[in-house]
Amino acid sequence: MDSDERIIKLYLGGQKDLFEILVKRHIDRVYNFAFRYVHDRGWAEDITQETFLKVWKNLRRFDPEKNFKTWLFRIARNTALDFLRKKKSVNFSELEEEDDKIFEPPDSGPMPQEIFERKETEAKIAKILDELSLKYRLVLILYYQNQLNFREISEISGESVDTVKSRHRRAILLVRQKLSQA
Amino acid sequence: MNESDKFGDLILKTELRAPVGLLGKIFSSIARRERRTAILKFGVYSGASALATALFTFSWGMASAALQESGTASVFSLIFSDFQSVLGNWSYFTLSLAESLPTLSLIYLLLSALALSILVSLAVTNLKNAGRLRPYGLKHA
Repeated sequence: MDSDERIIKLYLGGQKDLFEILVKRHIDRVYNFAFRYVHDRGWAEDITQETFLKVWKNLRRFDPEKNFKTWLFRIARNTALDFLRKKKSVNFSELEEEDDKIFEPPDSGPMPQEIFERKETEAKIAKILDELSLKYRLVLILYYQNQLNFREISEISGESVDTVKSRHRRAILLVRQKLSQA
Repeated sequence: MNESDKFGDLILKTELRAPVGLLGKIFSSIARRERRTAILKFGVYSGASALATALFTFSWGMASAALQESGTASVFSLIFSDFQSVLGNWSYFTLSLAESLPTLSLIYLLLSALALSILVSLAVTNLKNAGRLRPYGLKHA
């Protein structure tokens, strides 16, 4: 499988169709990140959309010698922060959500018990993350969900590696407290 | 299992998939953006082409007036009236023809023609791009 950086080089060389591969490869990760960060599916959808639009617009400025995933998450994080800042404005995706529900195909997925457990775990994570400040939330999501290392997280957040490490330590202490309370 | 592993396990267990249709939305918004840019560029290049046309018309008038005044036409007509002399003294003839040419006016004419052709081709390219519904040839856009 070609690396992201190679795909970008080919895309910039004129193979426009390759952008689709790039989006398909990362859409779930970015959506997950956005959802964990803002705790709202509609917002997460908007953030994902906006993130890839920014990636498309700025891809010429990306240095293929650098890590694409880091660059992508930096854009996603900045976009999410922008969305959080203007949270009082209208959320367009929420308006579309009702329509999506109507066309949802009959469920052939997990059993009710599994759904219940999943929802319970999701609620637990959401509660824990929600109670943490954004800086801790960012480190936890990127480290555990997106499997990024401390150096990559420091590039995304613009903080030093030591700061990221200490934030991770403190975040885990907070998580420990919250899990014991739950 | 320590707390960090437990948390990592929990977060991975509840990984979400992006909603169906989000990919299409992303490419639709890119297509819309690309189309808007193409329309804007078409407008700019069309305006510039109109200016270039005016400039070309002016240069054409200036060059033809200068050609009439310079006597280039009478020097050139020697080719038809006295071809043998032209052939015999071709170096003098070429020099006289070059000297009589209104160089500056012709340079203006050529430059304005070049600018006009480039701007028209850019305007046409952007018009084509604006008309395309699927900029990447995607099924989503």
